[in-house]
Amino acid sequence: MAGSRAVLSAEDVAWLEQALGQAMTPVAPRPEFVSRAKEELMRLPVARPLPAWALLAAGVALLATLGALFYLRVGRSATSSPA
Amino acid sequence: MNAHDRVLVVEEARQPTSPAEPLEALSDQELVRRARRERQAFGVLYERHVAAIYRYVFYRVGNVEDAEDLTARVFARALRHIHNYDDRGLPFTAWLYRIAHNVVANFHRDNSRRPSVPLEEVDALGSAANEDDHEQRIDRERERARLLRAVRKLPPERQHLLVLKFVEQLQNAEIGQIMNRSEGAIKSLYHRTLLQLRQIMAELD
Repeated sequence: MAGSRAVLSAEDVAWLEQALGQAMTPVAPRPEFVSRAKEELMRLPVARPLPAWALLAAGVALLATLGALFYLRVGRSATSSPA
Repeated sequence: MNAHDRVLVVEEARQPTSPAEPLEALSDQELVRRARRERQAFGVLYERHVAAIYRYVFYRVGNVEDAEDLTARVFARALRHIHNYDDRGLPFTAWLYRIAHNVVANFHRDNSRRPSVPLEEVDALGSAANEDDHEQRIDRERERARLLRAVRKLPPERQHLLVLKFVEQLQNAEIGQIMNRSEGAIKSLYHRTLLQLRQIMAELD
């Protein structure tokens, strides 16, 4: 098989496909791994998405914090500016 | 996790299913919907796809221990994110393979190594039990290990294609569904993959 040509001949394809077919065979996971991993999965805590109200409350809290920071910054620069 | 949470988890895992509707008979999409509230449904998805994901991971990392560890991580991550799964008409396996791809990429990044397949594991890949000529067998195993080393030097997408084609024995149209590409694009990618594989093998010589 030539290694430097930029095209594949039908023989190259056939050789590669045969070699890949022999090398890449379906391997099976060990049964003890399959059952052990499943048991561990079944024991994992249930992940529940945050309810919509919680997301909304977090958004409102964030906006309120940003608003307060903005208010304090503007208020401070107004009081510290020279008369 | 406190004791109360633990009880909830155990109870959820033991939730009975309707006898009229065995989970095993449901489609992947239906199982995903049910897995969001019923742990057993995820168990069926796991049983259904664990072997394929294991094979994909095995050929990406090259040894049994890492393949098992990473396969378990893939399903743990899938379970954590099952609420985010969005059915866009792609097979559920496409989503699992994407998770597997990310888990393997993280693994390679964290380890910054490309382990080669030890000969005894290559042995397990093939069925060379009745070989008479010991030397011929060794040569064949060496050639196989060299080819698998070359496969692992391909870009991840091309490795995925070869696993789906040669290990899972899927047709181009089915591979296209999983990889979200047209059949023609898969055919073209396959040709480029073989070309690159030949170049890598020449470099390994």
